[in-house]
Amino acid sequence: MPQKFMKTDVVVIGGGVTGTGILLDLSLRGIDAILIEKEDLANGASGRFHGLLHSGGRYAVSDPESAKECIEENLILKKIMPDAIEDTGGLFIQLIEDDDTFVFEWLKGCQKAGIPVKEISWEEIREPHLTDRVKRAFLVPDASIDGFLMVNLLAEAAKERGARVKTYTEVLEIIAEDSRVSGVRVLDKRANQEITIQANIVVNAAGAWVDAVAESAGIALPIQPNQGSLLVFHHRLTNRVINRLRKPGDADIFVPAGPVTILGTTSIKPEHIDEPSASLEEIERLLDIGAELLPNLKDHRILRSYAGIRPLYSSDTVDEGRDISRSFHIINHEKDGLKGFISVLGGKLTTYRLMAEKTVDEVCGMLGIDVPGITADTKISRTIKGITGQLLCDCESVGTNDLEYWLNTNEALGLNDLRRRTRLGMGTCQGTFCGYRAAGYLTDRGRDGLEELNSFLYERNKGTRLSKGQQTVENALNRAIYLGLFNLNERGPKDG
Amino acid sequence: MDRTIQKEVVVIGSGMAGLMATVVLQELGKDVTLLANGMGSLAHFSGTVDLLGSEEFMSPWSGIGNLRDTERQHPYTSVTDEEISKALEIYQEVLGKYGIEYVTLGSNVFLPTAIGTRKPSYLVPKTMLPQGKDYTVVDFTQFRDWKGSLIHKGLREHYHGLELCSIELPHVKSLTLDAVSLARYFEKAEWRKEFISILRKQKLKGSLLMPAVLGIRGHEEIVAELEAALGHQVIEVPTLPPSAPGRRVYEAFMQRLKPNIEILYNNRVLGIEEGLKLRVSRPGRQWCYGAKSVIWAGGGLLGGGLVPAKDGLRDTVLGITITEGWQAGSQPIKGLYIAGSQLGYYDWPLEKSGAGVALSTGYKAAMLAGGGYYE
Ligand SMILES: Cc1cc2nc3c(=O)[nH]c(=O)nc-3n(C[C@H](O)[C@H](O)[C@H](O)COP(=O)(O)OP(=O)(O)OC[C@H]3O[C@@H](n4cnc5c(N)ncnc54)[C@H](O)[C@@H]3O)c2cc1C
Ligand SMILES: Cc1cc2nc3c(=O)[nH]c(=O)nc-3n(C[C@H](O)[C@H](O)[C@H](O)COP(=O)(O)OP(=O)(O)OC[C@H]3O[C@@H](n4cnc5c(N)ncnc54)[C@H](O)[C@@H]3O)c2cc1C
Repeated sequence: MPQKFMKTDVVVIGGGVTGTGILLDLSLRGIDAILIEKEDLANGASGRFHGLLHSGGRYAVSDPESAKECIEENLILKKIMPDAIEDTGGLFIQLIEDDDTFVFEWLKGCQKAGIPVKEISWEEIREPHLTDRVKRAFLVPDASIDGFLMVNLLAEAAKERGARVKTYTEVLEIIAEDSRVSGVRVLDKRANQEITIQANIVVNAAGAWVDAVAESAGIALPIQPNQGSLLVFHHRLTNRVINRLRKPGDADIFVPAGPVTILGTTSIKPEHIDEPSASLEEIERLLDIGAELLPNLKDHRILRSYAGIRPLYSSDTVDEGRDISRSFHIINHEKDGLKGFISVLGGKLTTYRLMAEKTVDEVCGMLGIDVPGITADTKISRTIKGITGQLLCDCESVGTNDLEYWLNTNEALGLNDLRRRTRLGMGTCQGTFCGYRAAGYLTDRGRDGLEELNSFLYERNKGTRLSKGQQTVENALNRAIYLGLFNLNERGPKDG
Repeated sequence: MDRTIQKEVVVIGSGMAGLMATVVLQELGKDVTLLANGMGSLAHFSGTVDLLGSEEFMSPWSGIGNLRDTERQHPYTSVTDEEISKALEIYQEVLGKYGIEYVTLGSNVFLPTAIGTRKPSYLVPKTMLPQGKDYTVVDFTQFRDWKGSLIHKGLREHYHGLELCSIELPHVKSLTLDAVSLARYFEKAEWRKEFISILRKQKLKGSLLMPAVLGIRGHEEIVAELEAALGHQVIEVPTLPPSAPGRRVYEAFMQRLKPNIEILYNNRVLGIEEGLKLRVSRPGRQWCYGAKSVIWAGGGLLGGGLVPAKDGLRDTVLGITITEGWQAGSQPIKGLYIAGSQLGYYDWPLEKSGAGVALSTGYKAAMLAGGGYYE
């Protein structure tokens, strides 16, 4: 296999919100960096999370420190990334049977953390699907975030400032000489080429795979993977984020996201971390508990289910996933005898910026550079606005110009990557119509549109293969069109 | 309020199976009432009647024979070849009177699709049958539900020397133009003139593959006019819904039924009780009908007869949950006959048997309900 070399100051491993956030912070401080992602950006938890920009209310009792970080970051992100956030506001709902002493504790916690809370009356709630068994209701500054867009905005903003991003490139090994990191060995999967990247610092932000990456440097990280599953419902069932006001548990949050609503989550030990999926037990559990807040929940169509993995750092042994603190960890492995290597883990999407800033502060210290971070004051906007060319996806307003933009970044992206970047096919039709149109557009551009369409539908159908009875009308229509009308015998992706 | 109006035979559902059943009952001279509530899957139906299709066999009849031996609950086990043929004959006759000629070669034909694959079908409109040696795919730049390059790329393998041309449609500005709206443009003679003059400037070879948007009313005349003006044969290819050919089928049946049959529009059946009492709602009020026999043809998930339930599919009228649809021939209430895609134990998208099952089981249910068989 031919060898190739590259050189930089810092290698960042992982194209989730943490990695791209760090990349942008580095580039804003003038530090040369390359981000390595083994699949597409937002392949991990950042593309499989709940979509909630926390106000901190959820952690007001259990984790005051996280609560304070959340509200501070919530206000900052609403300022610097308005394109990726819909400021829906959030409600905390106490039902008749819910514990009053918890509500008292919660109000105290919110006040301490600085979370603005306003109690509202039944008339002011204005959530038509909500149960009438409400005892008290409180408004908080929760919001809805588009994780795909956020990660892509961060990566684009970093690239504009000179950073490099290599997707579909996997870190195989951390290279060290004399107890000091000298770089990484990676595999560019599309070119099938190994590359050695020389660097002074390597930052490991590999999410649920953070321990596997550390292990390639001979370092053990005690990680406990924990799965959370979510259900996506047709339509916007709620106007605001709706939280159950009681000790945090399963299925107690509804987040409106564009044209759909997401209910989550659960907390179980996953079977594997590479392609997590919701189990039928989880789906039933979500539906049962969710119906306590929205009683007619089961009459609404489920578009799909999905699952994400939380990498919980467990230096001490704990049995219940949800009780480990979710505040983040930045580990300088000098303590393990390896200089120039840092692992970042834990936290929330909401607090990514803070984590990135603290990490880059640490990097600057190691490089002997003294430049303060400015991400809190750097506004990042969407580069593409409006539709020119053909409208492909009505649900999410995606036009050929959006696809063209991403294709021109020359990363040879497929339809699945375009879906993550543009939200094509994420709405109610789940790609049945826009998938066809986009495949046509790709063919115009000299690609194998049919092959792309095939793996696009395959990916899509993975999340919608519920049990037979739960097959949705959208699914039936998708199958009628592609199998019944077009005779497309859907296969998996060509190479597997 | 609780007045019950007595009817003889009631058909519920104006999709393919319900319409077929109503025509048969009319032929049998029955006093039949059709409770219509929209087109159901006919809004999507491509117009090509599939019986059973596969890459493995060309004759659907031998395939159906095998099915009856291997899949004992399949809807085709409840109808004979003669009954299927009779149903197709009636369909062909109804569509013919409306002005759409259907043809069959006695075995399956492989038709081009809008993604550039080919699909087997049995009884097809003459305007959809590919004939000749050379072909040109005609792409319309503003019509996003028909992508010439995709079709051209896939079909090149099957049609040697296949060409592609792309034209801009006159006056079309909408970003969300669909097949049925485009079909309305084709129904306007003035607009067609402009269309023809644009297409004439193109280099065309052989037969022209166009999306199935060439008018709803007067479709065959429109195609004939285009062919005469362009000097090329025109072949329609079904594309993404909503479907113009499906609407032609609906109109054809309605044209046949309207003068002779009582059709009650916007009637939704809420429930059927023992003794064939129907609770019906129509905008603003509820109603009760009684009947001697009832045909229930509400369609599957797409027609609304069945909805997803926790442990199977729930029949929206009978309120019963079944694992995967009704078994052909079952009578949950005496005098109630079930037809069409509400039946289970078959997978029409995979088998290519959608219209075949809907038409033949609709026919059979009507024969049983109307006493068409004398034993
Ligand atoms: C179910 C669930 C719901 C959540 N809901 C919320 C919420 O509502 N609000 C909120 O604020 N937070 C939420 N979170 C938390 C949030 O999603 C995560 O904190 C955040 O996305 C973590 O981002 P990350 O970049 O650290 O990890 P990830 O997004 O997982 O990124 C890690 C990346 O590293 C890549 N990688 C791994 N190994 C390698 C390798 N060897 N070489 C190259 N690349 C590699 C992976 O492909 C992946 O893309 C939720 C988490 C889960 C699991
Ligand atoms: C995209 C698509 C493409 C297709 N292409 C082909 C093809 O190329 N070839 C082929 O052979 N087949 C095709 N089919 C399949 C074919 O169209 C169906 O199998 C057939 O139409 C089913 O007919 P049906 O009468 O059982 O149901 P439907 O046509 O769905 O009709 C059901 C009717 O019942 C009514 N109804 C439901 N509930 C009630 C109620 N409570 N009260 C009153 N009325 C009610 C509905 O409103 C509707 O009128 C296609 C289907 C689709 C969706």
